[in-house]
Amino acid sequence: MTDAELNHLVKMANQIASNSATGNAEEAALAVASHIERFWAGAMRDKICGQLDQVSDELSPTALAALTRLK
Amino acid sequence: MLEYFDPRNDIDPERDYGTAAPSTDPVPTGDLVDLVVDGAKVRVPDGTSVMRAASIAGINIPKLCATDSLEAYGSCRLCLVEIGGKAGYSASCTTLVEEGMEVSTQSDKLGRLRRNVMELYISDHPLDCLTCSANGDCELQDMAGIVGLREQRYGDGGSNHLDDMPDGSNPYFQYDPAKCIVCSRCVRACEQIQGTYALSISGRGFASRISAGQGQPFMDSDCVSCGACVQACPTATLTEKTIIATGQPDHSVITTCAYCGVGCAFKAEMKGDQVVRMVPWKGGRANRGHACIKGRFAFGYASHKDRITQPMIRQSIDLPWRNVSWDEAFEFAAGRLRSIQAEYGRDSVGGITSSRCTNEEIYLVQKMVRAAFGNNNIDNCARVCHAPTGFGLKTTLGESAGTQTFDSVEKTDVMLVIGANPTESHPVFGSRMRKRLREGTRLIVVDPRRIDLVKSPHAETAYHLKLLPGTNVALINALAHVIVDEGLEQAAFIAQRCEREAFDTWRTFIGDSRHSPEQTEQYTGVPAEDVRQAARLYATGGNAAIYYGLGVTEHSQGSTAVMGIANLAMLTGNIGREGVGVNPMRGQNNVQGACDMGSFPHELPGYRHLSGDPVRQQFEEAWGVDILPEPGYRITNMLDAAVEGSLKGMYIQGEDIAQSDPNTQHVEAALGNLECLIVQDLFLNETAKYAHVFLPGSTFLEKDGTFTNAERRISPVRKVMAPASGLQEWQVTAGLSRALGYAMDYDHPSEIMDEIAALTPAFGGVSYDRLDREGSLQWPCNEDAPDGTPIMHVEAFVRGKGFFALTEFIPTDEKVTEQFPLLLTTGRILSQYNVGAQTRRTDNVAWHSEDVLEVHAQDAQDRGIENGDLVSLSSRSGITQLHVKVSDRVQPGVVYTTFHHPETGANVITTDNSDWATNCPEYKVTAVQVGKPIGASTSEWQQKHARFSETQIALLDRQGEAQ
Repeated sequence: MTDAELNHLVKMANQIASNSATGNAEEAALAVASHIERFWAGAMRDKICGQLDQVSDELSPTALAALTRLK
Repeated sequence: MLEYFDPRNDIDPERDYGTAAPSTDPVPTGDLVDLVVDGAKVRVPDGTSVMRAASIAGINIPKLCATDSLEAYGSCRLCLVEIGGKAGYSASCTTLVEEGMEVSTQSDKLGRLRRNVMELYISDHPLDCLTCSANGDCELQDMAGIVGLREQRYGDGGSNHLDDMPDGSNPYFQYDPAKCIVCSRCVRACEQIQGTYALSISGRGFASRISAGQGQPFMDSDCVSCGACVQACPTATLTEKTIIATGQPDHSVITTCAYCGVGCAFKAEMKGDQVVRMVPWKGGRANRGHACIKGRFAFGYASHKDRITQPMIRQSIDLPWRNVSWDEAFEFAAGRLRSIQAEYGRDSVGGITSSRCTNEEIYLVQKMVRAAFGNNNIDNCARVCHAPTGFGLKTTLGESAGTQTFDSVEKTDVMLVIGANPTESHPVFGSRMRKRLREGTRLIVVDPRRIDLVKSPHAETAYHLKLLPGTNVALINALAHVIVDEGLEQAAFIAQRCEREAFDTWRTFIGDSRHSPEQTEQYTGVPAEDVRQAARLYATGGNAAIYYGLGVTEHSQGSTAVMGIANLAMLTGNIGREGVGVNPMRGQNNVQGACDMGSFPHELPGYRHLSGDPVRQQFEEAWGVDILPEPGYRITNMLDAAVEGSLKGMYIQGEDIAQSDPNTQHVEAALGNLECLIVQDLFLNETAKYAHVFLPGSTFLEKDGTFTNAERRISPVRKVMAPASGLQEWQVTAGLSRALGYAMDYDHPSEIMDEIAALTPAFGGVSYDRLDREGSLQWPCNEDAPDGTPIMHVEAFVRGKGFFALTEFIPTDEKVTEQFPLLLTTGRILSQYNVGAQTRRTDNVAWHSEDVLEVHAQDAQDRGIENGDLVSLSSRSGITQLHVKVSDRVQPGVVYTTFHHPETGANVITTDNSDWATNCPEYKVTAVQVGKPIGASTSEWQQKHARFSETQIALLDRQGEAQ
């Protein structure tokens, strides 16, 4: 995967996270994980989860928590 | 005696009853009145005219100025009748029935009066009936015959209009004043049906003439060429040029328009297998006999010379196309897809369907992808328009669909129109909105740009909230905040119909002062007091309905905005009955249907997530295959994967993503990377220029199927001519699937619908037999709702209790900068449709031959730009050059253009930003700069695109050469 594609996935995950904020970090992470499970292709999920270490700095805490859950 | 008169069953849309029914309600609510017409007893609803009552009794009173699509006018005096107990002669069109009334429609005296009237008309009318274009369809001629006119005693020496010259300026119809009887039907049609008020009567008495605009030729006037006047004209005065050229039709077929999501019913009037005229069908419940310039007139593309009617293949896109047989095309395409999958894996191929195709075609493609490709890489173009509607309405209300019928607008007291431009994009419904506005309905418009609806003749806009692009959620939240803050919510409705806990959480959330209009003003730019007043009007003004479009969905928070809209409707109890509701205005004819049909990577038909075992198993059993339980790629993800190199093959049906999808250069890179691109279309569109296999498509005139419009109305599409390519699309998909090793055997699209009905609960009661009998059906249509469902969520929400979703405003990343200080927003224009593949190949180009950039005078002046100048438009995605229209429709800081012409490439400018939940592109917000043109008249991309296009057209012309 090129950097551009990975960057796009990071951006998408962060967007989902910021739009799923509920005040409760765990609830939010669950909501993000569930959204990604329901709407993302497996290949997309696998790619970002496979390179989670590389992009963890760019992910919001909620997005990172969600993707860690899905890893 | 006609006992109870039931207009649902007894009204014949083929007849003209002279005046309209007193109410559009399917069952009349008023009292019934008994009267006697020529000795026959008739019972009709109170408010019915004598003319209509007689007509219902089978007695057709002569008439000229009356027709049942218009209000009675009483000018021609041909419809005079005698009424027992009343002196003189009454015009039956303007006289309403009364209990016990006794009407005589014929007597010696009435006969003489009518002949005298006709004689006066004919004294100033040419007697060239045999060679007249209206011969066979002329009410004047018919009436002369019916009243028994035998002489014209006035001679032809006096003043007359016989030498008046015709106006042929409109490409579709001619105005011939010499034939005009000044009945005002055209003027009234323009006012009452279309609502444009382009026509009037100039002069008085003998000098009275029809005048377009300020006495201009039709094309120079404000006429929008809807054709209502042409249809209303009883003579040859306003006539379609196709009729003048070819004569009257010999038969007709009722079908459904293939343009926007209104889904108008039309009579395709035919001579042999040629369409000579499209006439909106009075029996059509979506359009009630009205049409627009596209549906009525822009059908010439179907026989355009650019149509490709032979299957073609080529090894690579730098080689000429080669015409082949259907079987060879199927074998070639299937072979390529299979070898790609063998090399790169099962997920390396995908399919895209179009909302321009029928339900049956779309269903079949998603079935082929799931069964023959073996993955869920199937999406449709709703991804780039109304995907957020699906997500947002499903989350809050439980169903991915609009809640109302179009008729519902008749009961609406307040219209809240957000990010929609109905008079341009949904013109027939736009006209109905205008009609209701003229009756006094209040209007709130939320739009960065002044749409036509804001300045409607004889209607007032209560509030136009001119927000900055990208701030819908802040504004919708502010409206909700005011309603809560001022205690205007419908507490009883919420308590009974909505989830308590979610509402309490939401109420705390929305009550926070950060959502107040005073605080959100900094983002939206809308004065807080205007927001407060608009919120009060929406909450307390009676039946309030929200109509929204792509100005809501095509944002980074499109889904959030849709949920915010649903919240507003639930909060005020404006849902579940006529006159209210949440109404997504669907851009294309079958957006609703394409979504219903499971053409999504995560859902099977009927919006059921494919992770659900029982649902998936039902389809697995029916189709005899395993279905992956995990979602596939969405369009945007497919393109990313193609650029990256993991997706290598695509089947694209009726879509032109190289023009319609955002960030064109990204799309081009993706398409250029594919090893097998199969395009099924009418024309060699921009996308097909990257294709290896071209499968010719059929127009809506060449196939059977169904479309589902914005009000969930399933309407039949009927074949009126043979497909130019020999096959209908569904047969092509079946052919490709067979070549892939998965046979799909159907003899007729009705069998595909039967399969859909068997597998999809909301469609359980739908069949072609019923559609033939009933005209159209609104889903859900099944055992629970045998007659279909005009209004949804009446007793309970589809999801049970309504869900108030939290809608935090998160500003888009697409922000103005020093380099890109303006915001571009894009949209459509009345005469063109989407990428223009169809309408650019009709005379509609006379109205809109190029995309222009609307710029506010202040921004133009700051840049030394004048009206008509060529400018460069740049964003971080790309640069294009186009002409400027200085306009006060846009506010300072905002520019606007359309995306109908490939040469302009408006989507070279738009970015890959998208909605957080659905990846629907953020078309409506792009930070741009406008400046003097850079060097040549076109940008580097435009030059490259032009060269590529030329090369590809040359390769098409060289088709047949050996490869």
